[in-house]
Parts: sequence; C-alpha cells; structure tokens
Amino acid sequence: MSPITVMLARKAWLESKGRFTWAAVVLGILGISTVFRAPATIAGWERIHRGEQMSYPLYVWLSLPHGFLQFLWIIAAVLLGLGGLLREDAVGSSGFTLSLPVSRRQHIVTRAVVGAAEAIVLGFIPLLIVAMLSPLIHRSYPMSQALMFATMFVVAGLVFFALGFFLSHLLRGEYSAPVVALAGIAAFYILTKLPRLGFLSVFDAMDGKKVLVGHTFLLGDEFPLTTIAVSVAITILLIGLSVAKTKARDF
Amino acid sequence: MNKALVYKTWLETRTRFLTAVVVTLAVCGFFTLAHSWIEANWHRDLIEHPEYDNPPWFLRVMRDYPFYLYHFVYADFFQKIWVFLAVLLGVGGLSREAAHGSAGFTLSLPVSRTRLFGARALVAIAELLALVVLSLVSILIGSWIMRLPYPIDHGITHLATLFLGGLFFLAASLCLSEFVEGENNPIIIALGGIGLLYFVMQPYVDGAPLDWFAIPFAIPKLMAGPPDITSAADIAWIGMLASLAAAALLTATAVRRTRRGDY
Amino acid sequence: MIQSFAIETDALTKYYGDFEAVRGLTMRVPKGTITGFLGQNGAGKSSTIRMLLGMSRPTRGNGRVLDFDIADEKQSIEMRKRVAYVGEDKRLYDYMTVRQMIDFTKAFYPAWRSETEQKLLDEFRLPPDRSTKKLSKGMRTQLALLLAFARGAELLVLDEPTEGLDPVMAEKVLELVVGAAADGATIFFSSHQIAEVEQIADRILLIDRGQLLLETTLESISTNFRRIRGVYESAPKPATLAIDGVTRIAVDGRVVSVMASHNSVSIAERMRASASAVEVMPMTLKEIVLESLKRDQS
Repeated sequence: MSPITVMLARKAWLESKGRFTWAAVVLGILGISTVFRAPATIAGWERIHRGEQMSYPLYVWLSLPHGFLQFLWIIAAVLLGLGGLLREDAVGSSGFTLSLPVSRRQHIVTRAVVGAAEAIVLGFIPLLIVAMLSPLIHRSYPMSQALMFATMFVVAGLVFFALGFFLSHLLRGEYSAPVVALAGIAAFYILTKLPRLGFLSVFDAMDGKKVLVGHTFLLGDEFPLTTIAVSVAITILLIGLSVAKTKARDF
Repeated sequence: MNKALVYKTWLETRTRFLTAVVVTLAVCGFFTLAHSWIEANWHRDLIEHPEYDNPPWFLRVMRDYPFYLYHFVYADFFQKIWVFLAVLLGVGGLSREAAHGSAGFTLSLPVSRTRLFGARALVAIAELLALVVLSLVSILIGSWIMRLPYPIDHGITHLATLFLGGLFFLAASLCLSEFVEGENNPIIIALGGIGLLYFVMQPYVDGAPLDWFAIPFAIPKLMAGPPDITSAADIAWIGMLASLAAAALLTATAVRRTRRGDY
Repeated sequence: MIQSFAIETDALTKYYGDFEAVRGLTMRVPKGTITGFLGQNGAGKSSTIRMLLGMSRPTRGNGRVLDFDIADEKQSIEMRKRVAYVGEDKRLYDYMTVRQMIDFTKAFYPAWRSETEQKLLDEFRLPPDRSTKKLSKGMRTQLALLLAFARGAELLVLDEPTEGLDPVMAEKVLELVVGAAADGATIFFSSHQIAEVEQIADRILLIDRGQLLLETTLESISTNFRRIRGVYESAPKPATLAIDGVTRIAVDGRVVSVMASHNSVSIAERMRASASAVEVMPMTLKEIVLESLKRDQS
C-alpha cells in the first residue's frame, strides 16, 4: 500500500474513530447484557409460553441478529458512512483536501474501505462476546456460529453503510444524510413486511431467518447468497455513485 | 428578542422537523391505511402456516383495532421512531456552534446563555408536540378512511403518555449535545444508550412482570402505558412524574454546562 | 527568450447558475515571479483559484498551471504535486493534531523539506500535540503556511496569507514568500493588504466582476503610471484627451484628472496646450487600484 493511501486511510480513521469507539462501547454492552440477562429472559419467556423451552441459540438469535443488534448496528453503520468532501466543504477544509495531489476517487474509496472495515468489526463484537462469555452463565454458544452469523450479518448489511455513505455525498446539511438514511431504512423495513415483498428483506438475510437449520436457530451449510450478492452489488454501486457525484461537483 | 431566538432555532431545525413530519405521517398513515392488508396477510398465515409460533398479543391485535394501534404505534414501532426523532430534534446547541465557528457571534448577542438554551428547548418541545398532534390527526383520518372505529380518547391518552414520557429522551439529547463534541457523536451515544435501554426493557414491554432493578429504566413501558387507558386518571402519574423529574435534572445539567462552558 | 508561464488562462469563464463569477479571464503569470492577485470581495478571485486547482470546472475557456491542463483530472493531480495552496478559510482537520497534520501532508510530497518544517515549527512556536481545533486563528494560519512552504512546491497559491497574523508574524511570512521566490518558486497570492503587495510583488493582476482590469508590473507602476491634473478656464471635452496611455479621465468642474499607464509626457503636453496649470504626480498602487475600480464602476 502506498504511503499516500496509508495516510488517507489514517485520515479517515481519525475522522471516524470517535463514532466507531462509541458504537463499539454500545455494542459491547449489548453483547455483555445479552449474556447476563439470558437466565431471566429465558425464564420469563418460558413462563409465557407454558410447556415450551427456549433454547440458548434461539435466545441469542432473537436478541442479536434478529433483534437489537440489527437496530443498533444499522444506526452505527449509517453514521460511520457520514462525512466526506461535502461535509469538509461545509466546515471549510475541502480546499486543503482537494489541493492534495490525489484523485477524488481515491479520497472517497479509501474512506469507504475504512468505514466499511469499521462497520464489519462492529458487527462482530456482540456475537464474539456472547461466544466468549456464555460459559460464565453455564451456557455455550459455538464460536463458529458467532463467526458465521456475524459474517453473514455484516456482509448483507453493508448496504446500509453504503446508503449513509452515498447520501453524505449528496446532501450538504449536517443532519440531512443520517435523517434521510434512517427514515429511508425505516420505510424499507415497513415495505418488506408487506405481502409478497418479503423477498426484498435484507434484514432477513442479515439474521439468516430463512436458512436456519430447523428449530436449532443455528446456521448450517446454507446462506442467503442471492440476497447477499444483491446487497453487495448495491453497496458497490452506491460507492461508485458517490465517486461519480463527487467528481462532477464544484467545490 | 425571544421571537428572534426562537426563529433562529426554528431555522436551524426546520429540515429535521420537516423530515420528522414526513416520517410521522408515513408511519401512522401506514399502520392505519394498510391495516386491512396486514390483517389479510395474518389470516393467510394462520391458515397456511399453523406451525408459526405467534406471540401472545397476536390474536388480540387481529381482532381489536385500538389494541393493534397500541401495539404497533404507541408501544413499539412508532414509539422507537418517535424517540429517535426526539433525539434528533434535541441535538445542536453552543458546542455545535463552536465547532462551526458561529458561537462567537451568538455569544456576543445581548442575551443570556440560559435564554439561548431555553429557546432551543422550547422549539424542540413545540416540534415534538406538533409531531404528536400530527400523529393523532393522521391516525384519526386514516381510521376514518378505512372505516375502522377508533375512540379519540384512546389516542389522546396514549399520545400524551408518549409525549410526556418521551421528554426524558429530548432532555438527554439536549444534555448530551452540551457535553459531547463532534457532529454525530451525540446522536450515536444517545441512540446507542436508548437502544440498550429498549433491549433491557423489551421483555417487560412484551408483558413480563417488572423486576425491581428495571423500574428506573421503565420509560418505554411508561410511554406505552397500559393498553386500554382512555383518560388522564389512568396514567401512571408517579412513574410519569419521576420521568419528568429525571428530564428536568438532565435539562438543569445542560443549562449549567451551557452557562459555565468555554466556547 | 521564450517566457514560460506558471499560470495561463484563455477566456476562462465560470457560471454559478445565472451568475457569471468569472468572465472570459485571460491572464499570464510568468514562472519565477511574485504576482499579487487583487480585487474587491466577490470579484472572482477565489472562483478563479478554485478552477486553476481543479476544485471546480470552468464553464468555458481553458487554463494551464505549470503546463498542465486544469480541466484534465490526471494532469491536475500531477500539477498539484508541484503546487501548494493556502485557502482563505485555512480550516484544517479538527480531528488531527499539529503533528498529525504535518505527517499527513508530508506523505503526499516527495520533495518535502524537513528543515523548513522544523524551522517554521520553531519560529511559529506551534505546539505539535495540540489539536488543530484548539489553535487560534493566527496559529491555524501559521500551520497552513508551514504545510505550504515545507512542500518544496514550484508554485505557491496563497489566498490572504497574512490574515489573522500579528505584524511581526506577517513580516516573517512575507520574508518566507520572498525566500521561496528566491529559491525559484512562483508565487501567486491574493491579498487585501496593498502595502504588502507593494512590498514583495513583482507584478499585479487586478480583476473586477470576473474580468481582468489591469495587468502590470510594480516597476511599471513606479516608472510609468502618473496622475496628471490640469486646471482649465473652461472644462474641455474628455474625448480630446483620450490618447494612448490614458486609462481614466475624471472631470470635476474646471479640474481634469487623468490616470496614465504610460506616455505621460505626451499626455501632459496635450493638456498644457489648453490648461492654465498642469501637475504630474506619481501614483501608488493603492491609488491605481482604487482609480481602476472606479473606472470600471463608471
């Protein structure tokens, strides 16, 4: 990697590390509290569903990939995508950035790679914590499952990062990009609940709802590859559009 | 002078507010206008997928329209969105102005910092109140269009608990904005904290009895209220007052920080 | 001798919507010179600089910087390896310290001069571990200038380089500019401080409403520019005085004032033919700029 790329990556990291760190703390707390509230929650569930038992993998699945991890990670991913030359223009440093002997494409792609890497790392945190800490409550959750769920989760969900990223290259206002992105995602979520539009659901690909092995709520050999592939393609498209939009813009 | 401060704050927040209006209308409109679609889909699932494990509220939601609105709007989906909007409308303030270079101008005005903060808080509260009224109006109109009888006092009472209980989140956002630097850090911390709060509280919102240690965090349950309340007398006023007291404490902390901060 | 130019533009034009910010600007900045780029607020200076550095695209016309085409992205990147720019805003990255800003910028310029970096860090007394957002306006300017001068650039484009600096620091910066020029760099700077421009510039370009109004050297200003004032018994028709070298004629009752860019001797003779008294005075740069702008406004 050239020193210039390293420096651009470092700039992107320094710019976003506050957001990343806070998100990591929140998701870490999510992972820890998932483990320690398990006994009470499972007992409560079994009280309501008399005669049934709640397996630990089901509890983990409902709490994390199908639950709050989706909600919190998507917000974090959108916020990690924010920034860029348009925001720099608003705060006054775009002149310095654009005067550097680097193409706008390189600025944008480097920032996209760093942001995506941060989003990916965040997605792994809670599940890895669950796998590591479950023995403390006399439960076990396979590390292989944690890694598979996390990988599927982040790869399918990167499209939300890309959405925030793209909107930050389109909308100049400080809060416009996150507001529009999160409102759009909420609207998309509702859309996927409509009859016959469930196939659009990236959320189902993130949590593996349709590929879980029977009632184990664990992953087997199957993955929602089509949805993941479409999600990745849209991610790349949105980053490409961000580059195109910025190249054409006057600062 | 006050009008000018309020106007300034309105200009700062109007894009966010208008987006919030669109989101509010979309969500409330959806849950009323799409009710028959959703219900038809559930009926089909009951017949085609008897193996589906339906949650305890499912049967009641299908046959009881006010409870359907309670579950999806006041207690779950719209409540979470509304909390997000409360956070969003609360961010800003002198810390943000300092980051953008306009704090010097604002602080050179012949007006106290408390008044500056007050204008911001007032506008945010007014905007949230407007959103709550808008959601009631859209629910009533949507229900009328779909010919679904809906008692107005059920809506007023639940939206009142949503608004009053949710002032805590607005206060948290106002307070965080005074302490945390960076454009988006206050949002990420606020939403992260709120997300964790909902995570901890979800089983209780779904009906599990409230454990003693969860009582201080029961704001989501407070905002939802019991499903069938239709008057002010039914509101859990002790909890509500405690929530408002917490909001007041956060607000006082924010004011103190504003008054003492170096910009 | 074929003169080579650091900056050349040909009918450069920029529209923002319906507003024409730069109108058919044709100018040349020879290599190795110090050129002051002058104009009122909103004259089009920053718009011109942004086009030259590839930050915005010309609507029409073309330009070359260090022989690189400004409209070609690849050439623009090559050009920027040899150019240092200090913007009017001087905002840097709030999330970096002084040291981090230096290390970051250094990575892009193989010709980086570490001795200049250290010298300026000491002279400006910039604290390396302080966040840029905690720097005063003057210190931010100093840091921005350090990042520019240490690059070893062939062309320095400086927008209000001494803004926010105390007189001692401002003088140091002007010395640095002259020093960089002595090392072979071309300096293209805009400033509202006419005294500074007079102090260090070889040439000036004056633009107004997006158009070039005046292009001259400081030497020419001292040797050729003159104000010639004539007192008449009855005011003559200005057209009778419009000969080569006359750039402005102002009539105030019986007093006629002429600004001449050259040929002042002939102009004075023409006026003496009918004036009762004629006075020829040198002009300062400030007077020339103010008169030129008045002429454009009239």
